[in-house]
Amino acid sequence: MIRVAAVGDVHMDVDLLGRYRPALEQLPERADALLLAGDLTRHGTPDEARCAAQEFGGLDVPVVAVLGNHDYHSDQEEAVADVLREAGIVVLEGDSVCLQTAGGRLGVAAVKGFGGGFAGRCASAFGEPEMKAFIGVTERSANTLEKCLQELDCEVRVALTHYAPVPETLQGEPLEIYPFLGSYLLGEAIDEGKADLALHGHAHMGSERGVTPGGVRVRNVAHPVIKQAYSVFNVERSGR
Amino acid sequence: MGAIHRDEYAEASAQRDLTEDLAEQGIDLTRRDGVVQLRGHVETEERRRLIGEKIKHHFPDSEVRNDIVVVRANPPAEAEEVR
Repeated sequence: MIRVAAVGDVHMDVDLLGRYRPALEQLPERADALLLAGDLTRHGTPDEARCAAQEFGGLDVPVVAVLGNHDYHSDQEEAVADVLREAGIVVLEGDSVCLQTAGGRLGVAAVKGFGGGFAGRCASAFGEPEMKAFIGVTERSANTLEKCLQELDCEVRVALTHYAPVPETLQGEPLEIYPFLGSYLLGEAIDEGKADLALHGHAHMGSERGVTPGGVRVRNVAHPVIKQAYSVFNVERSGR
Repeated sequence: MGAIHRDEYAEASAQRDLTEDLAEQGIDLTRRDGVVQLRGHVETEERRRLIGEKIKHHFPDSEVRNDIVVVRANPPAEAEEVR
């Protein structure tokens, strides 16, 4: 069994420094790793990333992050990632990492993901080039996630995204904005990649628990949803 | 009729302003009988206050009820078993 802590949408800036730290100091006794599900900053600036690095760096457990849409807002996502990496945080995008923990090897495959919507109410690559480009981003992201998951040789495989892979964890959000909050393509990738658990953020007014059509548990760990510094999941390999 | 139209556009403008200026998404705004009600979660009391101020600017003649909650950052009470 591997203990995975996770939170997303912490939106760090100078006004939040120290807010999470007391709870984070307890992590080593509660979890084997901490996963951050995007939106570590408010506007995606290196200064805000330094706040996130200060808050979530230097912990006694490995920290793995994927960026969210806020972290891209200032077009400095590479600089944001570099600041986090300098603090020892593993930042993934279309990539994976395998961590050796006391409970076995924990594999994390991560993409930010993108929107498009869910079965029966989703966008298609049709019409204007802007529409094709929109769906193209999600398709490439989902394909990469599936490939990264399949390549992981670990006891437990976790899919880490910012955008949602299923509509269940969006319940509470206005239906009209579901296509901006996630895509079924991510869920399909998580099923095909045989993940044991899928974690995402982004949907502040959504719900905590969902499941993919293939039976993979999905958890929305956006801070406003979990209402605590992080959630902990004790994950057993499903034997998929 | 004109006032209704203005409120509709003011709401759209206010929501964009929250996102594009304050980077706050996920704030629910409802209008009823001259009252603008705000719901959602933010990280600090100051961020909560700024949102209320911004909305008041868009609806100067309405009462703004700010029911936004500052979300806690306590450690979890328990872990979830995922099998």
